[in-house]
Amino acid sequence: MSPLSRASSNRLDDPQYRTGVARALLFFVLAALLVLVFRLFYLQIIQGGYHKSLSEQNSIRLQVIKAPRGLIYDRHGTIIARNRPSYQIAILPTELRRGEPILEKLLRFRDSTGHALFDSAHVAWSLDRARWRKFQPLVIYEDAPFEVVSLVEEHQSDLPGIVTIVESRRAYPFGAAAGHTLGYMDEVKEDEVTVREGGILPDSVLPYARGDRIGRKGLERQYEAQFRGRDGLRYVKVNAFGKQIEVIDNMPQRDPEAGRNVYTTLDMKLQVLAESLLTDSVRGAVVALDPRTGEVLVMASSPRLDGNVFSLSREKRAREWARLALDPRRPLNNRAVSGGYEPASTFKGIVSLAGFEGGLNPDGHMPRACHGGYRFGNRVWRCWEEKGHGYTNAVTAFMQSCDVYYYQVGLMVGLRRINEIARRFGLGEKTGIDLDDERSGLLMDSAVYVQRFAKKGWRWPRGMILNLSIGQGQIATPVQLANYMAGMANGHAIYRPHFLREVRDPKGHLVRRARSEVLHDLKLSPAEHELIVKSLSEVVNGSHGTGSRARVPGVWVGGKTGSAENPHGDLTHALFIGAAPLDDPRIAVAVVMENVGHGGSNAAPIAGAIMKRFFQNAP
Amino acid sequence: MLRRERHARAWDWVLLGTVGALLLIGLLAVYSATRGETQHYWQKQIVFSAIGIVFVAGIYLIPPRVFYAAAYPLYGLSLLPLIYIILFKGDSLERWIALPGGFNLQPADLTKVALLLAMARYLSFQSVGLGRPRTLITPFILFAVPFVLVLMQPNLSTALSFVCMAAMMAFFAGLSAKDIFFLATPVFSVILTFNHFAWAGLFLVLIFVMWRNRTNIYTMLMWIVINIGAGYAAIFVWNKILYAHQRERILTFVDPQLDPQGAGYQVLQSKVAIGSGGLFGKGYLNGTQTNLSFLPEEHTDFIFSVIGEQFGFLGCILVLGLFLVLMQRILHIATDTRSRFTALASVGVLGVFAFHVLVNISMTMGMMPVTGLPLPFLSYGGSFLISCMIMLGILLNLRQHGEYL
Repeated sequence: MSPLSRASSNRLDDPQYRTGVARALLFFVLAALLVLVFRLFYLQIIQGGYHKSLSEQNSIRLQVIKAPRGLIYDRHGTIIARNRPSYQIAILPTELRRGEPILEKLLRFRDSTGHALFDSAHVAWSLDRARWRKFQPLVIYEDAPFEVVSLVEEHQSDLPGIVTIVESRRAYPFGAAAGHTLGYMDEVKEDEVTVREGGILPDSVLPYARGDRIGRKGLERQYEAQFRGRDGLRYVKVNAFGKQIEVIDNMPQRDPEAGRNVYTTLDMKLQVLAESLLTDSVRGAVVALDPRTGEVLVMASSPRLDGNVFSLSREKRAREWARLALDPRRPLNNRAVSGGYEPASTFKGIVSLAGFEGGLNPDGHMPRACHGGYRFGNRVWRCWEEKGHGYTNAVTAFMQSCDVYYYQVGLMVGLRRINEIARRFGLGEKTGIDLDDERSGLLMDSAVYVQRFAKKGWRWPRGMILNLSIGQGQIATPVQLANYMAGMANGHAIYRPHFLREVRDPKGHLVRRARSEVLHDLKLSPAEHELIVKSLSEVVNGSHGTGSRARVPGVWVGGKTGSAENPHGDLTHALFIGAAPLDDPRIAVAVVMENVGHGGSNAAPIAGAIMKRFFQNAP
Repeated sequence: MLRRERHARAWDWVLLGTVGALLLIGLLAVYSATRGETQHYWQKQIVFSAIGIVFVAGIYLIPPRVFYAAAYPLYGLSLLPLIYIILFKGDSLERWIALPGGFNLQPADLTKVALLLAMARYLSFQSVGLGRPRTLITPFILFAVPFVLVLMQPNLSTALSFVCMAAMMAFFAGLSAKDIFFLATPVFSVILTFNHFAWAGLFLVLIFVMWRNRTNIYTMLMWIVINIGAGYAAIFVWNKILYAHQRERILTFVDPQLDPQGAGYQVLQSKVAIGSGGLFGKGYLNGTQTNLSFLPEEHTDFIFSVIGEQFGFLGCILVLGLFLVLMQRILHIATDTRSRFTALASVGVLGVFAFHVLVNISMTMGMMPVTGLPLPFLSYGGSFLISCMIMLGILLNLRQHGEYL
């Protein structure tokens, strides 16, 4: 006995017991192996012929059924983004026959002008790639026109390994209308692919296979998780020409789930009107909001962007992309959220309120009358009206946009109070609208100025406050201006601008409803609100108002013009912000046009036309 | 200590020859399956085999007493990497630790060997029986700790291979088939709660066996209560504690065919590959299914499909025959030695090999869920091959020198 084994009686010491147990174990293994042998016999001998035929034709194929992407609707239920069928001609690497001159055969296809239909370099590259990427079809002709598809289908039997795949792609029926807002789609990049062979994805990761398309900009990107459905999978049996014969039974199958539909706040009729007024030759933006909720009714940016071009074939897309990216007018920018403009005279509403809160009597006039300029230090700051406005009170100064009045208000109340009110109206910070690339804008004071121009060594000039009092020196985006206008009109709060109204699943069940969210409480007294409403109204309806061209018959419109001097051209940027009706505001509009001249003559008519149409549609 | 003349045993040439033949067939199949690929799997497999042979030789030289003495410390050590994986790789599906040189160590493979030695050591001095429940506590804990840790990785198939190994050892050590059935019923209950009819069926079987067995009424009630408890605990955990994605992950592990792009496709292609081999096969290197890479895992988990397609029914019978011989030789060690430890360790190794062979081959023929379990000595992959070789080395060592352990 070894010292390691304890001296206790144990059945294991009985050789007979052991032999018996070992025999039982061996019998168990033998029985299990026999089952395997029977199964082998069944698969290889009884079903051998069937399996051989399946293997020779390589006739089993896993088919991915792409889930349709969710649609986008406007506020009246009009579809503004839908899906269209798109035909891809592709190589199925597993079907290629060795020694088959596929490349030569494909290059023989020519169009009516004698050009080869297929790009030889791309096809050769794909064929090369097919050697090691065996499970995915490689597209050699993207978004093929119908003639090409029918040509390939006709010669199917002569082209083993070449198949036509139907895919759904995004189409925007209104063309470029609301193009910046809707955004566009693009093929996923290699590092965005999440679906790989044999992997299981957690719920938080959206599934993307190679060649899938993903929302890149605008709402397409913002609500990608809603739009994206879940692809289906099934096994099909195909014949020698790659034609599908039947779905193989008894194999796991998953039905595709369509993506969810997004109902937006956009009003396409107004949108189309706004874009027709803001011609492509002018750079600028138009934003219209519902002051009661922050719902965006219109958002236009010029030059326009047509998301449809991104669904075209690769080379067309590349051409369009180059054109867009190299255009000096930068049509890819959504100027409504990423364009920074000086608010100019539209800023005077804030300065008026700062004066009121600073204790100025709105009915009284400033110490110095306007004679076309204001002497401060050793230079004269001009008023835009060379003839001057004389003595004005808060309302008449606002109506005629008298700069000299506001220079004096600014000097009296100081920048701190002005910026504090501007912040309440949402200037200088992102509104948090549901779009990417939003800019925060800028509110200027001495600290910001020194920081911003530290490299140039500039110091804060004392006269800067005069410029800032008339809105020269701050930066605001059109959506911020529209929101600021909405706040002045409703008098109590500004809301977060948003496009999302509802998300519904494909069956129409409500999944999510957007709520309006207060961005800032304005804390205006009734007297302040009354002053600002009166001022806004006088601009449009007063006898000397600068915004008279925004008038809408039968509707009480108010607003403020602005003409921003800028280093980019001789003509000023034209601005107009307006809202209607002033007693119960339902729409607030901001129009910004670059280098066209005065706000009153250029921007105000567009805002007026939009408001007019708005009240015609919904009296 | 009594000094005895060491009695020189002849080498078991049949066992060695069988393993050699399996390794060779595996190499041929790996070469055939992957020769078109950029990575030279077959060359790496030769390196792994060589490392494995070095391990066998090295282990052969260790005094056998070391295995007995080191069984518990090794067991304790082998749990550490498992805990490491759960703590630091809990979110990913990775079950390995990357070692320098591009070698991935699967700690579960090492734990298997350590658990085998520890169980063998405990059972070699403590006879067990269901009639004396106290004797079962220690082996149960020995088994349950690594089992749960591996299950949490999650690596269901390896965890189940522990069950097969432990069950075979317990059976050999004195538990009857009926005892093992009783012990296993709570596990069945947990699994069968998905289908209440099946669960009810289990109770019928349980009660029938106990009635035939003339079990007394209290024991009977105890088993029924344990089973109901286990089942409802499982239902509770499933519905209240696990999140949806965790449930989905478990379901996909239990039945990977739920993921049609992954396992469902593999099984279909594997069945076609094996079936198209016919009686004689398509000939070496002539497999159309496997050589065209229809099977993504052909060189690892689906190596048997490659053999089935190229060597046909006869080739498969040969491979199954080799495995049968291997297992018979291992059992022979268990009956031929006087040492309980050696005998139990051999049975443990048998349990691991039998589980891998039966489950893997069933899986390639669509009889069992695809669980990512390799085929011993045939599948490509360093960690598992080397762990098999380690077990083989321990067997050879104990057979040769472990007579009086």
